[in-house]
Amino acid sequence: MIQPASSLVVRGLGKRYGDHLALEDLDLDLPGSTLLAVVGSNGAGKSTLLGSLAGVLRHDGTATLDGRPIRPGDGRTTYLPQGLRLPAAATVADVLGLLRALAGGMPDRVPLPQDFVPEGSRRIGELSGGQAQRVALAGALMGAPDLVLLDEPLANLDDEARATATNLFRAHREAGAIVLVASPAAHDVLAAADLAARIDNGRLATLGPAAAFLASLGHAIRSEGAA
Amino acid sequence: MMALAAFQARILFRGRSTIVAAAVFAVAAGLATVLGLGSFRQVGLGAVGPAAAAIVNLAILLPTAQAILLGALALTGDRENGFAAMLRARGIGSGGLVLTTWWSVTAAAWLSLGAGFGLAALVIAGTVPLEDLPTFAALFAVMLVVAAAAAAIGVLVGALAATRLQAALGAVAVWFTLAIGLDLLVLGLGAFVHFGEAAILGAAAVDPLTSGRLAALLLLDADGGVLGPTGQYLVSRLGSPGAVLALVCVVAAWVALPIIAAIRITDRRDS
Repeated sequence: MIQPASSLVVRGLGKRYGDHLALEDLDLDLPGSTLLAVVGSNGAGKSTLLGSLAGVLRHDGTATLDGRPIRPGDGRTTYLPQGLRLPAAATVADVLGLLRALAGGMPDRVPLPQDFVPEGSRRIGELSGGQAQRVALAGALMGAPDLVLLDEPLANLDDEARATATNLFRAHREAGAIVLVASPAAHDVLAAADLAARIDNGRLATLGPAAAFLASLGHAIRSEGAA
Repeated sequence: MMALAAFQARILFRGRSTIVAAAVFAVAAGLATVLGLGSFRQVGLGAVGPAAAAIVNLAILLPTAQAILLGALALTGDRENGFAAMLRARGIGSGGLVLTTWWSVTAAAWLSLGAGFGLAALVIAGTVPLEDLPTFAALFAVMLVVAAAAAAIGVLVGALAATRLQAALGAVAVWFTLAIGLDLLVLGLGAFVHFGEAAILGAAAVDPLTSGRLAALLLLDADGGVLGPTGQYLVSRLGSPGAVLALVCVVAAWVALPIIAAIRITDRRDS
């Protein structure tokens, strides 16, 4: 079902770790139904941006969704942290059951493809890194979130799973959600994204069409090859 | 929050460490009881004997070590793994994270106590008079509260630690201090002699494990040298039931205060 599109407005977002300024005075306006690839080198501030928007990092500045401050727990925001390791003793069904309950038991706006996650009875500790990442991703996409924050969601996934995951991001975008996907090597995501935001030293360096950004990357790669 | 509490408890109960800890405590308590059967009055009820002291000390030392260590590692582990961040983004606040962790760790420690006291009860079932049953139940109840306090302290250590290694080292240090270190310090400094009443009351208040041990010994009708200066002082001032009540209140405060502190600390730090 298509939901009314939301809008994300970020003003003066900043985050400091001791003396290190991880994010500085970042402004961002995104309309609903947007898939944004957040790119940048390691340590640029991508994860800090997503963590701040998710409300799990204390930060300066404001972030609103449809004019209201983003509030964890209202069922509108979901977050997949970078390098998430689910509890090894839990089963797939335990994890998905918990995250379903935390999503308010709402039906999924975008159903998962069959066989995307391993059998429910299997323990997380028995799964490969890619299988565990599928479970984490499935849990993060549960319910009907309007703001989907995914930090390196394609890590450890095989080609088939990356394609499926990218299609899921698209489907959430088409259903009205704002999807932010952070990745240091974002070719897969850029190909599906509407916009790309490049973070550099905690600042928003560029924000523009993902296709143009992808083309510039290809140009840079070809130039390096020729040299 | 109930869903998270059930989830945390399920994964702790499935963990090997919980089963091993329960088995170790059960075997130790069972052995202490069997050895105590040689002398009926030493079984532990109605009088203080070596077997009773052994069971009380085992209950004070083993499940509390388990609770402090598990509490510290569970909270820090969830934070290091990113799971806490995922849960917080889904609306689990600091209070929810801390309380569900404390509850699941307490439940795991209670499993150990249940196994140990259960085996001890089976061993002595045929030989101890029925009127000793309330004392046995009260002893068990005191140990449950002590384990809950230890879990709360462990969770506080977890809230303060930045990494799992820090949490583990901190938990071991805290447990050692509470279980042995403070007693050694007090004995070594002769603090009771120098500081009098304040030191005696302080010794009871700052250490929930010692308070729990004293309450248990009082339930077993101990007196004289077994109680030590703190126990003797409390009995002389409050009487035996009053002393037990005061000591249990101290242990209960050690459940609440570390949890409140852990919630505040977790609230002020990034996930």
